[in-house]
Amino acid sequence: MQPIDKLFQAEQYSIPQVKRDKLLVAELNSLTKFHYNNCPPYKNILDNLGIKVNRRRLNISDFPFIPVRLFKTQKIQSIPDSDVLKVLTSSGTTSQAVSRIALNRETSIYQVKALVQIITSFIGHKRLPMIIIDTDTIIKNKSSMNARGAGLVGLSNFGRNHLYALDENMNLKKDELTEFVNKFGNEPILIFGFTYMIWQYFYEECKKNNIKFDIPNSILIHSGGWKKLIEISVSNKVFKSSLESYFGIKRIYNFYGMVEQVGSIYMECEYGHLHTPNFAEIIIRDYHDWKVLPYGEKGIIQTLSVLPRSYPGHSLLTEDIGHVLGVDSCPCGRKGTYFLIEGRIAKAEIRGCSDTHAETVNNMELAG
Amino acid sequence: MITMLAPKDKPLISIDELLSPDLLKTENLPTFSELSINFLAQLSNKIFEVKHITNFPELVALAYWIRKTNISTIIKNFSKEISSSEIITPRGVAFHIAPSNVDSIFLYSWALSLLVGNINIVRISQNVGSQLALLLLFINDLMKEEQWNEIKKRNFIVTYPHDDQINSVLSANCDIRILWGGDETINKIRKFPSKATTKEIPFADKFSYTIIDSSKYLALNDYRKEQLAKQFYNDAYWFDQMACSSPRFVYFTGSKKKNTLASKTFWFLLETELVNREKSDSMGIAMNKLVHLYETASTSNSMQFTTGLSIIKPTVVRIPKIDINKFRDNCGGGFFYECFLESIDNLAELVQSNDQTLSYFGFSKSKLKNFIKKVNGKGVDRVVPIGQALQFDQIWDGYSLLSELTRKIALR
Repeated sequence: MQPIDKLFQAEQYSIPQVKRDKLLVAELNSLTKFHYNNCPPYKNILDNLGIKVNRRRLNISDFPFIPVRLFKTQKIQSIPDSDVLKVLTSSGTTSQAVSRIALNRETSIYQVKALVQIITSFIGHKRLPMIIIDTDTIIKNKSSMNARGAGLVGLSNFGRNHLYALDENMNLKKDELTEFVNKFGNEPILIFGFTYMIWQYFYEECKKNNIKFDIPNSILIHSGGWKKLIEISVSNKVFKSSLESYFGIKRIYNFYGMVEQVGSIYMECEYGHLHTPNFAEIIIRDYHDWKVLPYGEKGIIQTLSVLPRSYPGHSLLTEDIGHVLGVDSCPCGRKGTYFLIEGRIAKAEIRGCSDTHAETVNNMELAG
Repeated sequence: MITMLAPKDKPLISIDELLSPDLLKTENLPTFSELSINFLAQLSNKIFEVKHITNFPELVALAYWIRKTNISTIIKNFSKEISSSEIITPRGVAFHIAPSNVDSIFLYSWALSLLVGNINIVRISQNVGSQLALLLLFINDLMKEEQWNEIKKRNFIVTYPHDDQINSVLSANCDIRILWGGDETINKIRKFPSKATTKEIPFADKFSYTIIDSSKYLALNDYRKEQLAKQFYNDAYWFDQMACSSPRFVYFTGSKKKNTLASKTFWFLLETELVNREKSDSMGIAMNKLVHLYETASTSNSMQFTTGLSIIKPTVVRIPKIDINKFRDNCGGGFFYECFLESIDNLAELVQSNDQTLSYFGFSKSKLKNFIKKVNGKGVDRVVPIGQALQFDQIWDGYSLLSELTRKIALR
């Protein structure tokens, strides 16, 4: 059995760090070699930066990373175009470069399996009636999909009788929503959407239109970054308590994830901590020299995942800032590393002679 | 609506109010009037009076440039080129578009246009940085004084969101259009027709680099080497290396052995200079440099990078001559490509049409003249010693700005 199979076979969050680390390291060693041999830009990077591929790495922090922004400017994949099953893109606007992630069948299957294991460990195996706070127009094209669409499709597998609660202009479908809650409100409902959209188009709209219902057994899962909400002073705490007090929803889970590593998402537990699933790990690095920081210190997040088989996304340096809280010791009982995110690197102010018309695009960073 | 940044009598005005019939009837000031020279001198004084002004090196440079002695020299040199049967006059209304973040650069072209007597409308970016804010404060202070009334009536620093209507009205009514902001801005503003007689002065996207004679460099004593590092620091790190004149490549010329040694010493002393100045990269710049290094690494099969990434070091990637022009994109903030050449003659063949400033160390004027002749108009607008890359000159981007901003009348 391959190390990755062991990681999938074990129950999520059940493997103690030392054991999990060994499995991850074994798998990442072979992935690094595989991508080196199959992805020319990745090979160039390692060769040019003097990183030896054949060195057997013993620690998770020994693996080279590539910056996520590279997927926006270069075509980076480890499979021939003929093996590409679908291409995921980040949700940038047209004026912005978007990430381009090529998936083959194997990677795609791993992603789905991983997501199923993580989500079901939180909500159980039973499919629940599901409200998706988005529009279904976003998922119409299945071969090329942005992060938002990929997130919706991935999560919709966990529900039934889906209601896409917004129309294409982001207006709340009030009548359908009321009807849905009347029909299913006695059992737990699964609600999913992107953090900002849930706040703006669902919670705020319901409040404004005096649409109120009590669904205390329901579960809400959301993701997509806090930038826009922080601008209007809505923290995770405020978000949770507002939705709980208005709809009675107690089980609210945020997750951290990115289009460059779909599947290995980091779910927030009952204590507000983000958890590494079996097949992923995070490392915090110091921007001064990119060395690893000890637990507790704030730095740039590197994410490692054994899922990416079609592109060298198994070790990525993100542009997010966070710190590790601990390992195997979260009061929720889940094993592995748990951490917090504190935001994103402020874009360096671009100074220059040729920028009079450079406009800042305030793009909602979405992740799946 | 247009926001008036100076003068500030009325904070918001329409384009019709700005380009009022009165303004269009206003006479130009005489060329090189005492009034204009004194106004700039006063502005210079105000800048020098600021406590801790050395924290704003770009402003200090500007203040030196517009003080009376320098302006007088500029006028004197320019006047030498004019014969007794020629008369210089203003052109009329100048419409300036300033770049958003190299705060002070447009001040130079505005100062020259003011000196020659033109009426000026300067559009600056919506985000005013701290240095520019300070300058605007001073300009407004001066404009409040009665003695500068004639200047105030003819000079307007404004800002407005991107607005086709305002751009088109100003374009249609100006006699000179001065376009900072690179290719994109030039192409955008050119869509708006101007008068057939309008003179346009475009400042396109430009690229700059440094060349060092390795033997001459190695022959310097330690003190002179340190001085050169200080001067190069100013060229490269002001404006975060993102001005058109900021060096992005450094060429070393000589034998491979000498080049290697010169390069090692040069970058080490630059690093020491960063330490002395307590200069380190912000998190955003550190990430930009990392990403840029990885981008370079992913596409190159000939680069050398041995120094490692650190926020207290310049990032230097060595590229062979054959590939060097593939790396003209740069993230700024202290990211350099270096390249070893046998001699300056090898540089001539590498010159591109949008090359601007060549800053040098260790070459005689006659060698540089030969180089310029060999390039023969293919590129390169300025050749200056290291340390003067950002020093504004009335000869810029291949133009004599005073000639461009004035009308030359033959009287036979």
